[in-house]
Amino acid sequence: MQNFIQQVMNGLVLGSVYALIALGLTMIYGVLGLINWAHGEFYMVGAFVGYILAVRMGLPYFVALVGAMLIMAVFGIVVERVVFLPLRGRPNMNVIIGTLGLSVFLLDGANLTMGPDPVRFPSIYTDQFIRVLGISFTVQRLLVVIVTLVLIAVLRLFIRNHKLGKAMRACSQDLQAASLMGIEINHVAMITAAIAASLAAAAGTLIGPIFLVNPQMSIAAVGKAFAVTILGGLGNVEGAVVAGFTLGLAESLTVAYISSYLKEIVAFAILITTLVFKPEGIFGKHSVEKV
Amino acid sequence: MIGTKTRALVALLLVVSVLVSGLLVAGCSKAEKEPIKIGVIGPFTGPNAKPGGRMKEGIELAVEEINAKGGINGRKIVAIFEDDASQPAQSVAAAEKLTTRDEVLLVIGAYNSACVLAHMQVTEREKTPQINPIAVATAITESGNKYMFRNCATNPMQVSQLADYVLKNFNFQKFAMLFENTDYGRGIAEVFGASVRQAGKQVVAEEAYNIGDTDFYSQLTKIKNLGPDALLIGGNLTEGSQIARQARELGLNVQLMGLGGLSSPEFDQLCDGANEGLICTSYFEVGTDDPLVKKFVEAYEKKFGKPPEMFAAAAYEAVYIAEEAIKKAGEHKNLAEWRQAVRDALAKIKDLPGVQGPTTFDEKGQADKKVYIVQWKNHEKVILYPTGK
Amino acid sequence: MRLLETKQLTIRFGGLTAVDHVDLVVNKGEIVGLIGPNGSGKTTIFNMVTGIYTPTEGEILFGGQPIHGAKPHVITERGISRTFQNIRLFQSLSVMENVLIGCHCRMKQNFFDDLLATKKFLHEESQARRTAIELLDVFGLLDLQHETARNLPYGLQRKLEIVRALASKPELLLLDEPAAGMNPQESLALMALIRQVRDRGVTVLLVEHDMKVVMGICERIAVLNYGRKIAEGTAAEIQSNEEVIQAYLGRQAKTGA
Ligand SMILES: Nc1ncnc2c1ncn2[C@@H]1O[C@H](COP(=O)(O)OP(=O)(O)O)[C@@H](O)[C@H]1O
Ligand SMILES: [Mg+2]
Repeated sequence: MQNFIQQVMNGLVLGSVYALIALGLTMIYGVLGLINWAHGEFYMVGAFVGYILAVRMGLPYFVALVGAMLIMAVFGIVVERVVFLPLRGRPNMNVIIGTLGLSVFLLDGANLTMGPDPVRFPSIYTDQFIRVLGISFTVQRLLVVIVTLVLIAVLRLFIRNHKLGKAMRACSQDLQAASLMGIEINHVAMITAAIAASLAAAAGTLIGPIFLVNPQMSIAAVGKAFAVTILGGLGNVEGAVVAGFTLGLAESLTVAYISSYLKEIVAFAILITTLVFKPEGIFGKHSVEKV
Repeated sequence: MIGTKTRALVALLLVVSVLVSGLLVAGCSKAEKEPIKIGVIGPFTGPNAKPGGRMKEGIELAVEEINAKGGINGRKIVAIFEDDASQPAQSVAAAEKLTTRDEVLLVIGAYNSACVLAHMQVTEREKTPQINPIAVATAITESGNKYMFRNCATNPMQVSQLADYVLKNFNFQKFAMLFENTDYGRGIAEVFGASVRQAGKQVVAEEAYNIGDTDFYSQLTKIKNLGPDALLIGGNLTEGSQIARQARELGLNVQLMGLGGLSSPEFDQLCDGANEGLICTSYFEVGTDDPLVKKFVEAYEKKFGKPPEMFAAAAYEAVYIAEEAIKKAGEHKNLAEWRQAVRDALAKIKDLPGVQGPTTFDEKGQADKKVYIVQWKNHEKVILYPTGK
Repeated sequence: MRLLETKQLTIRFGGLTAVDHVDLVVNKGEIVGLIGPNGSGKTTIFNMVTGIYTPTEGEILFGGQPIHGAKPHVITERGISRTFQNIRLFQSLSVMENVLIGCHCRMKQNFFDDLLATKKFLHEESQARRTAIELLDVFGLLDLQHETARNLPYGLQRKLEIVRALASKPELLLLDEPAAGMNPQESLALMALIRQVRDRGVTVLLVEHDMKVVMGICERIAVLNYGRKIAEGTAAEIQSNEEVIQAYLGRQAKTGA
């Protein structure tokens, strides 16, 4: 039982990260209609921004977290203007090449400025432990889960109730009709990119202290994020959250009760099965609200 | 702005001066004996440019020292460096160029096992002796290639040395292994597990992870529940440091063990103290009393302004092994004969002192090398083996 | 007073001239019909007027000001709103949310007021909600306000699209085949609805195939064929126009439509 609870906690931490990264990916797809191949790099750049604020500039951890989210929101807006906007409504191949180009640019940029070697991103919460009922984790891990849940709740409130959130949902369904209803598509596009990048920054800054920060972290992250996004249904926000946690728990429990050799296989087995039997994702685009 | 005419003139002058100086140099060296050419293949750009650079520095230092003593048999030596960027295809091209165009006497290299496995067919075909100081895949010396010599311990060698040490000096009953899911990691687990079982002890957990993984809580939780006395980390420093840290976080307080990569200062830095007490193997240590090592460390620090590490040491040692063989082989007019003589001399090398310990090649060309066994204590390494050095 | 006027309005797609030098006038308070066989360019004119397409030649004046080439949301703000030939509601949003989104362009606080939900923002939000409730009430959809749009029956979806279009408080409403797929009773109700809209002070330009509807409510009718305007006048005039009859008969003979 103890073991099970510990493994569930492990799975929740993994799931939080998957969910935060996938949320941005799915929102950008939902609203802007493009698949952002550079999303793993958003996460990586966000982690480095958090690292610079917290470690190099010595700001308190939560200030660094909020700071990284704000800086990356601006970064998201710039990327939307410079890269996404010219790609809007272009053939798929252009979008793939455009966003892949951005991904290479950010990865190499990080390699050049921060160096390829991993760096440690200590936070005071990595040295504080919680040991209850024989299970054990750092406060930082608890923070990952809690902050993720809070961010998801706020995002949900925003999307459901706020005027801009409604506009985002409208745009994700019919961009043209939305613009004919007087919605300023450009604002919605910018705010979507800002939210997506800022969630990626939150993921990076939350996870940085638990793991290490290096440019390559984007590569492993993006594979999982795509799996989660497809699993949850492209453009489906709630689907991304549920799929993120599902994958995290599945991985953790697979290691615990089956074999660590199968950890990655499970993720992609779930993905392939879903694609075969329910190509629109577990939740599809129609049963649950899109963005 | 410089005018086009001026620029053309400058270019012309440059070309002329290069030609003239080339002739002068050629004229001079005719007077002396021609230098002996040694080819070096390594990753001087690309993902392994850093260790490749260390390797190059080790070679430069050894060449400089040997030439300062007057070279070998009255000839200077020159190293010709060819970059393979860790790409097997580029490595093959480098070997082709060095053996056929540059006509080097001997090749040293490379860094990646995949590159050596690819280009060793070229050196074998050209019957050119090769010393491999770094790449550790067993297949390199197991393939029956008569021209391949390796002056470092292979993985199985260092793993079984570690296992023997731990089994002899500690009374551990239950072992766990967490290793990367690659040939490298699985090979480590295989050899270590076999030693443990042979000693009548138990392997309670064999867990794998993938390169690039960051979270090991699931594996470590499982391991913790199986209650081992010691945990072997079969991987490199990035993942290894995370495993050490997360094991500490989970309260998995067992003896940690690891291989070469975990003896580096980067590992210590990334661990943030979680490596305290960890025992691992090491190819090279600066802190020994061995006079040969002391001399090397001093010279290296003087030339490059930083302490040497294992790749520099291995490459440095390889040049001295080459020196010994070339000296023994004597003078030959014909390059093919000369290469053959050097190969035969290499095969006969016995107990040649070096910065990584004495070298004796077996019939497969593998040197019988011992590695250090060290333990992290307060961010410093304490040498457990060999004792009394 | 001229509310909408097109002058020599033309658009070409590659070699095809979909709309060919069309002059059209809609006066304030009128219900004007725009008819023509399939593919004659009616929807394309709507797309140009609402800013989806930019005309190749010609001008579009709204209230005397040129609007051709402006962005769709800008034109919506100016006071033109529309429905679509194939319903384009925000299917997974509720009835209320669809209408609220229509109210968007009348909410003029800036981006940061929006984001930070300032007092001004909250005030306008509640005003938008009042407008939406009033509209839904007038058009008999208030009981369904929490229903998801896709769950409405077809006729009510058409109605909701009109209500959503009215939410932006337009001066001119463009209706693209609103009676398509309706039974005769529904069509009758639609005619009453369109009159009701006009009586609220909204000018209507109607594209429709159902001749009963067009002849029943339009004060003036313009006829397109192959992108050209071939006739204009009252219902009676159009019905007796040789060229119009020819255009419809000719097409029917060819397409069987
Ligand atoms: N974006 C477009 N690209 C190419 N042709 C188009 C486009 N939009 C409309 N057309 C063509 O313009 C003509 C008029 O179409 P439309 O305005 O939809 O006719 P309708 O009168 O039935 O509404 C048709 O031949 C149609 O194929
Ligand atoms: Mg049409």
